[in-house]
Amino acid sequence: MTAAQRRWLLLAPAVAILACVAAGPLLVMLVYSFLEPGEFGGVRPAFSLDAWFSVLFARDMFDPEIVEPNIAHLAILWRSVSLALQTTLVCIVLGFPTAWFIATRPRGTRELWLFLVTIPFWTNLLVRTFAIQEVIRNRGLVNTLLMQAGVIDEPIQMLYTDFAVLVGMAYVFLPLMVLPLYAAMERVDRRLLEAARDLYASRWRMFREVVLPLSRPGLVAGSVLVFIPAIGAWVTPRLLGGGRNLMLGNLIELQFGQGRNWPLGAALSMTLLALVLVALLVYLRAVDPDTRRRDHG
Amino acid sequence: MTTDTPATVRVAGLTRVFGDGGHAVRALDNVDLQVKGGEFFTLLGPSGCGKSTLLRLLAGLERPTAGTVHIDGRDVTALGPDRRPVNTVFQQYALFPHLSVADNIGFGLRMLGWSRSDRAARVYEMLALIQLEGLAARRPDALSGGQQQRVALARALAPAPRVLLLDEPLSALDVKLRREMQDELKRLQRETHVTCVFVTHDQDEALALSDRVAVMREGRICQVDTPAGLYEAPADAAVASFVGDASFLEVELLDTADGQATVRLPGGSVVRAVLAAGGTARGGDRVTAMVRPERVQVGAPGDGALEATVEEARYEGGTTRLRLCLDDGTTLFARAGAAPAWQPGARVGVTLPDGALRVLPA
Repeated sequence: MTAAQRRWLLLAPAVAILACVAAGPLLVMLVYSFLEPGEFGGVRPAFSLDAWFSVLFARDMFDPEIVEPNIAHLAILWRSVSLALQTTLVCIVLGFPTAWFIATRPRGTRELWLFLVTIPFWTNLLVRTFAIQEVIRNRGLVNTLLMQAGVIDEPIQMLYTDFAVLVGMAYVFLPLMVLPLYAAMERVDRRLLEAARDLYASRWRMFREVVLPLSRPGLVAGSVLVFIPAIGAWVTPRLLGGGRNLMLGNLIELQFGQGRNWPLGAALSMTLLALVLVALLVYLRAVDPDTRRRDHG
Repeated sequence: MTTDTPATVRVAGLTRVFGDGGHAVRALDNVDLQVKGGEFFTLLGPSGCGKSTLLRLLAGLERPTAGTVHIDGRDVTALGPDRRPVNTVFQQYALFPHLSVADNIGFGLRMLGWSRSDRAARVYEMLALIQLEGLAARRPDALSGGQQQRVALARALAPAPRVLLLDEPLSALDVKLRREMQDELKRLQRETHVTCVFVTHDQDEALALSDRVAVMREGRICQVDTPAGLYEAPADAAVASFVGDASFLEVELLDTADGQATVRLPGGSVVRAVLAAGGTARGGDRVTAMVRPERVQVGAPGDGALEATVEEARYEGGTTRLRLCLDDGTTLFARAGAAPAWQPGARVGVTLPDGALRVLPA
């Protein structure tokens, strides 16, 4: 057996698994998106562009000749992108100081803090999301406290709003921001910070001029890790956003369930995939300067 | 350097204790020190002697447990590193990897709020000083170790600090490059007249570069003197053995007068020795005397006052370093001419001329 053959033999199991569980289903989805929906779900083997058409457009109910943008879908698409971006932003704002705090603890205690950050991972997502419901519902913890303190007379409607979805997703995805940020900050040489202070930088400028640029790879990785699951999230928006504030994930789920429109679900899935790929391209572009610099050195 | 310039750095009662309770370590113990303007001052000592801690206290990177630091007569003890007119060259250079050479050198100036054009002019001046004009746009990781070293120096010199602090800056370089950088460092100091406080554990480096050296041990300063002073007149056995080669003999003190002593050597012969200050020994006491290897004269057996056996002979180009064993078991180092090929096991006669021995305080 030649070396090349041996290499392929070693790669074969991984390739087979990838083909079965990653490429295969994607291919099925791609094919389904070009077929007609079956009456009780599933697909009929007839070619159709209807599903792709209705991702963005709709026909007038009475006159199929009139084509207009699919307002509902566009709204959901926009909400998904917007909420995912907001979630990423909130995670950055909360994650940066957290990661910096952990990275600057003495070596022995960092593991403890990291462990605390990852604790939510140990709990089921549904349980955690129901817990948030308890906190923010009209007779929940926050409203009760605010009313008892006399700050408000009526409970603030927080549950079943975009705000609730944002809170829930930021909470769920925060560790995905903190961990890569911490990994990047932990690698920053402490002597660089001392050098900056020695060269007349205040603490804030030391952070801005040295810590921030040097932890950028972690920031970018964390943003991607948060944005991608956030844009496709469906458990959190369903439980916290109620029935009305759908995100892309809920819309897709709907097509395979009550909607009985598998081709549309497949087309929407492909759209989501495209959005994620765009996000990844932006990511690669963002880390590019680093790669180029390494090539130079 | 003139002796009556006021002290640029004045340290009084400086103490730094790490940890607390039973685990407390006194890294620096009640240190007093004065460094004059324009002086090249070296803190010399083995690792863990507190020299780096002292430097970090001068830079403001550490806070003292007790004591004060004055720079140019101003009390800076409570000021952070960004508010002290000192800059540091760090051990591993600590150049900012995300900034170009020019931006590294200009970093301090930018923090001080210099305008872009003033900064560019000063950075160019610094690049010319370290002779790296062509590399302004490079990243630090595209530079050799010696080049990084120069950039670190330029970065620390650019804001024209009152004191330049150097934390073992040459320890990461190989021997040949280190020699070059030592010369370079002396040239830069001559041209900029900056006061330097230099930390090293390398005694050759300390002797070669410094106007004055403070030898440190266990958080205290043992002796402050010129390199020649340290070598010729060490205050105690610790300084003598840390700075240069030294051999120690047990001798009998016969008489003392005016910094001179008459001592009886193990073999019975009597020579004149120098008496170090601070000793309390009197006639009749057994005392320790130190001798530098080049003061030991080696000849044929029966030729000198002492008889010894050559234990090891190492040719060092021009001279031979001999390890001798006196008949009473004392080890004696000597530097002899290369001419007779010294062989281990050979019997030799040893002479210690008047003034070669230095009686140290017990």
